[in-house]
Formats: sequence, C-alpha cells, structure tokens
Amino acid sequence: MQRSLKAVALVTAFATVSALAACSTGGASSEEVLSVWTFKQSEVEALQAVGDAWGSENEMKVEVSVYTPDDAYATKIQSAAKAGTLPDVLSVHSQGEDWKLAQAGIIKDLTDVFDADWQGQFLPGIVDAAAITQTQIDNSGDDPTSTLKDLEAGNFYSVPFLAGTPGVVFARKSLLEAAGVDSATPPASWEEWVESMTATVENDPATGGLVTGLSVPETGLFWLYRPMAYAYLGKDAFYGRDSVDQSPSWDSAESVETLKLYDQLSPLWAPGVLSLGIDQADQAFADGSAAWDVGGTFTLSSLTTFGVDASDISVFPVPPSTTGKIQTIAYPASPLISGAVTNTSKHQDEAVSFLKYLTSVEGAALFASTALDLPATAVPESALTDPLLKQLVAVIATTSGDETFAPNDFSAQPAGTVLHDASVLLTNLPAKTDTPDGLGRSMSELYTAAWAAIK
Amino acid sequence: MSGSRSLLTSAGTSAPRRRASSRRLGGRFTGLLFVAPAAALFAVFGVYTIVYGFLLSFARWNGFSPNWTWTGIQNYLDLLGANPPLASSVRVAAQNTLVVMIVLPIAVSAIGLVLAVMLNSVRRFRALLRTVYFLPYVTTGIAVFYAWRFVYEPNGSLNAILSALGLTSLVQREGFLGNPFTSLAAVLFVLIWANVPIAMLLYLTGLQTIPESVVEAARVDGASSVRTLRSVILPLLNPITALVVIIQLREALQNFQVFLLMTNGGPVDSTQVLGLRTYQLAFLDRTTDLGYASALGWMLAAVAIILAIVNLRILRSRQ
Repeated sequence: MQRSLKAVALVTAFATVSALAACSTGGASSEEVLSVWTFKQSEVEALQAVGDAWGSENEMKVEVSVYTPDDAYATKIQSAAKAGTLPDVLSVHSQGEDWKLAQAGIIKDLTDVFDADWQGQFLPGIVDAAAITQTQIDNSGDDPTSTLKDLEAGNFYSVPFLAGTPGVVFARKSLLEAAGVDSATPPASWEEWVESMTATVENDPATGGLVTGLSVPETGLFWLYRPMAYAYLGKDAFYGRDSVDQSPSWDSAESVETLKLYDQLSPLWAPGVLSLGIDQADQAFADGSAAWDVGGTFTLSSLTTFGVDASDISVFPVPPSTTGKIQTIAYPASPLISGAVTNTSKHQDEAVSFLKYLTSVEGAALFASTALDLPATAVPESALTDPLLKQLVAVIATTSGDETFAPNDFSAQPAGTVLHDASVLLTNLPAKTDTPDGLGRSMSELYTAAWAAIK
Repeated sequence: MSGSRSLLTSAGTSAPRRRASSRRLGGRFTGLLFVAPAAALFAVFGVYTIVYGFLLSFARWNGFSPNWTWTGIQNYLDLLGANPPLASSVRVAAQNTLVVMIVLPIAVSAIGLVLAVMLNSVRRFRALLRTVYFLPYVTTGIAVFYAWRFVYEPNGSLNAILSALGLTSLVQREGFLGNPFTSLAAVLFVLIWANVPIAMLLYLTGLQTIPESVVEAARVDGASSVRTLRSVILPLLNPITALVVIIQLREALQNFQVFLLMTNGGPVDSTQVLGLRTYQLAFLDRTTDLGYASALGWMLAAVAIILAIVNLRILRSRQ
C-alpha cells in the first residue's frame, strides 16, 4: 500500500515539475530573440519578413506576436506591464496610444536616437506629426487617466512605420458605369460626388449605395465628416469649433451647414449600413452590395483580403464642397502606426536598430509590398508592386499649408469621451432621428459640458 | 468510591478517546485538504478580484500608469451626474437596461411557464420535445448571435418571410438591427429566445413535484384548468418563479456580450446598456478608465442584490 502511495506521489511530483517546466518562459537558447507585438493581423507577415531580413544581418531572431482586437491588445499590455513580461518592441497607434504608454513609463523616449539622418527618410509631415506638442500636453488636462503632463513637447516616444490617411473613397467602376457615371474621372466636389451617388442609388438601390463601418460610430466622424467639415469651415474655424472657446459654436450657421452637407448622404447609404462593422462594410463593398466605400489607405489590405478585383476599383479622397472655404483639400500622409521600445527591454539598442531597418527605404518597401499598406518612409513608386497601392500613393499629397488636412490632429479636443459621444450623436443623421439644426445644438451642449468637466 | 470508579473509567477510556479525537482531527484535516484547492482558487479569482475591483471603484486608473489616483466617492458622483457627458451616456444606457430588466423576466417567465405546462401535459415525445425546446440554451454562443445578425439583415430571412407573407409594412429596409426603433426589440427577442429554455426546464421540474392529488382535488371542487393553474399551480411554483426572475435580472444587468456582438450599442445608442457601457469604459474608449468601469460595475451589482432581495421577499410573503 505504502509503495503504491509512494509511486503515486512520485508520479504526481514528476507531473507537477513537468507542468511547471512547460509553463515557464522557455529555457536558455543560444540565439537571442527580439520580441515584437502588434495588434493588426495583416501586419504579422510583413513584420516577420522585415524581422527575418534584419535578423539575418544581426544574428538575432525576431518573433512577432499578434493580439487582436484593440481591446485585447490593450489588456495584454496592461497585464504584461504588471507582470514585467513586456516585449522589446510594441506596435502602437500613433499620436495618442504611444503618448499614453510613455506617460505611464512603459515605453522609452526615443528623441535622442531619432536623429536628423533617420528623420530625413520619412514622408513630408510625418516627423512633425509624430512629435507631441505643448497644446496636446495642455489639452490633456489633469485627469489621471488622460494627462500627458510628464511628457516633453517636441519629443518622440515612438517611430512611425505605417502612414496613411482616412477620408479615402473606393468606388466600384462597373456599378458606376451601369448607372451612367463616368468612372474614369473622380468627382471634383462634394456636390458632384453626391450627384454620382444619387445616380447609382437610383439605378439600383440594393447595390448603388455608400458603406462604411457605422456600427463603429467613429468611422462616420473621422473618415467622412471631419475631412468635409475641414474644407468647408477652413482650418481656424474647424479647430476653433472644438476648442475651449468654441468659436464658431457647433450650432452656428456655418457649422450647421456642414451637418446639412453630411445629411445629404442620408438617403444614399446602403441598406443596413448602421449595423455594419468596418470589416463587414468592406466585405459588402467587395461582394458588390455597395458601389462606394469610405475608409482610408489602410482599407486596401482588407479589400485585398476579401478578393476585390483591383481593375474594377477607383480611388479618390473625400472631395470638398464648392461652397466651402477650401476648394482644393489635400490629404498628406499622417503617422498611423508606430514602433515603440519598452523601458523593460533588455535589447533596447537592438530594438532601435530593428525600427531603423523597418523605416529604411529597403525595409519599408519590403513591409509595404507584404502588408499592402503605405509605409511612413518615402519609398520610390517603382518599389511598390500592387496597382491599387500605387493609386493610393497618388492620393497622398506631398504639400503642406492650410489646405492640407491632418486627420489625426485632435489637439483642439477636450479630454475624455467627447469624441465617442460626438460620433454617436452624428449617427443621428444617417439614422434619420435628428435634423442638422437639432444635432448642431446637441453637439454644442456636448462640447460645452466636456470643457466644463475639464475646468 | 464513585469518585474512584469515575477516575478509573476516565483513565480506562482516555486512550480510545484520544484515538477517536485524533481520527476526528485527521478527518477534519483531510476534509480541509480536499477543500483547500477550491478555497485557494476562490481566494485568488473570487475574493481578490472582488476586493481589487471594489477598491478600484474609488480610484482613477487607465490600466497603464503604475499608480492609482484615489478619488473617494467621486467616481460614483461623476457617473450619477457630476460629470455631465459621462452621466449622459450612463443615463441612456440605464434607460435601455431598465427596459431589458422589465421585459426579459416577464417574457421569459411567461413563455417558459406556458411551454412547461404544455410539455407536462403531453405523454408522448416529452423527452424529445424537452430536448428540442432546450436546444437554444445549449447552442447559444457567438456563432448563434452572428446567425441572428444574418436573420435581421436587410436581405435576411426575417424580411424575406415578411415579404412572402405580404406584410411589407413590417419589412425593415435598414434591417432590424440598423433601425434605432427596432434594434432593442430585436436584441431582446434573441435574449428571450436564449433564456426561455432554462425557465421552461425549471418550471417543468417544479410542475413534476406538485402532487397529482392536489390538482385532482381542485378539479373535484369544480375548478377549471385556468383556475387550477392560477390558484393552485402558480402559487406552488412561486419559488421557481423567484429563481427565474432573479436569473433573468442578472442576465439583464450583466449580459453585454449579445449587445457587443450584435449592435455594439448602436445605432445611436439605441441598444446601449449598462453592462456594455462598463466594458467600453474599461477597454474600448480612447480614454480607458478602469476606475469608472469598476464603479459602474458595483452600482450594477448593488441594483442586482437589492432587486433579488425585494423579489424574494415579495414571493415569500405570497407563500
């Protein structure tokens, strides 16, 4: 009996030790590993390809892990930060998430290593947009969940490797031609675009409409309304409306006019658009259930995944209204996704070296061709193989000035949940549950309350 | 003499008593050993998280910064009105949650009871029918919620059926989830569909414990079937009804997955509920705030506990 008990105890002990060994992070390896985390499935292959190329030159292995969607990624970072198991490189949303992580002490200030030579490789405007400004720090307020007061204006806490812009319209040439719309010439104004959409909807209400992922209400605000409103109001009024002065206010005549322009789309949305997520909207466009799809340069990889025929697609930016202040709006590339080095990394120099390669012309071209997305680095068009990717590059402006719209510049906004709340309010127009005048008043009340909460 | 006998007795029985005592102690120790893993798990995943969450509800924390910022009861005050933009979104969610809290227990109890009575009255295929009616409960999951999305789509099967029946005025061009006036009812229907089976099974169990003689006596006294159900069976099923209502209230207050997967709270917050708002505050908003999320979670828990106590008291007083 005692022997059998001893045997059971031995087996149990062995099993426990084996299980614990299996749970450990792995034994010593002769090859050093640089760990990289991302939140985009479509980036994994591209980051791994770049990692393999960099690793072969640096005798180091790059391991890319993906945690998706965004909420799962955020939770993973939170728990890893607590447990001290963060990777060497974190992929982060530019102009926001990187600063939040820097404020929390999770990622490293890269200002000293991000020198002029390195900065010179990027698309125009990318480097300036990646640095945090004093206005952004001031507007973050003192709220402990959103404050950025420990950061320094002009500093870089991550290096952008993916750029692009929202406000890109994808059009289905065959459906446009069936409705008698010239698919070769993109609409020059908002009014022309509305006219074209009216024609496709009248031709076939089931397939002629416009889609975007309105069940994520931010899509309507960020990708469609804001570019149009920027062109209509002009730079000063556009940012002034969201600022603490609210000048002009959201319920002013000119602001309500932008809501009226947006409301022109209400009868042109595809059936059921309010219940479509971002991927579902892209899928609806890809399978021919909609003639128009609003997204960004980043939408290309989704459309490619859904098997869209590139020769049947034309691409153009959301056009400005003829009645607005800016008649020719330009969409420069903004940083979308950046690489950050964690403070706990034991390979910080190697991590910086990897980011340098990722954002070099060679690494960026490899990344772009694999991920079918726009790199933040200026790569020659000949390095891009996909025809739709070339079309997208043509959409991106290389100019700067008041006519260029910076889509990720939310520096005038009050901290808190106001952007989400404003996005939800805006869906009242496609849902036909409010008028532009009523919505203007609701928006004005929202911003007044949001600024009052900060004060 | 008697004293010496008692001493002798005591000395003679002390050894067996010690053995019995040590056996009892050994038994207790073994029992504790058996309970220990479950107790340790509960201490780590139950007590620790409850205490952690409760403390967090009095602090502000975005999940990334190394320290919490203690705010006392300010989180609760902000959610209740001190922070107007935040309180406004919570108010909308509370209104929708209230609708779910009223409709879900009533509909699930009523439909579950009717199905149970019908099942209890049939003699053949009872097991088969019970399995069929129980299927929604065992199949409910992410895939089923997505399947319901397809049913509700503009070109989904529900619109197709309504068109085929000539009920074109009921057809929803935007789909049932894309219209703010039908979206909450559409999600509620799925919740009811998913929860009726458990209510039916509980009622069926209750019905089968009612002695046949009680029902017979009512019939002999001339009570109709409806009167028998209302005056005899239903009062006897009060404990089951209490349980069903409590389960459904919990479901109404805590189930946010259905809303997250089917509508994400939209369109225009028409399906925004407190459970989903809690999740959004913690993980989805641009400014994640686990302090507000915890406070809202504890407010939900308090409401659930109060309602459960009130519900139990009312039904006990009827008994």
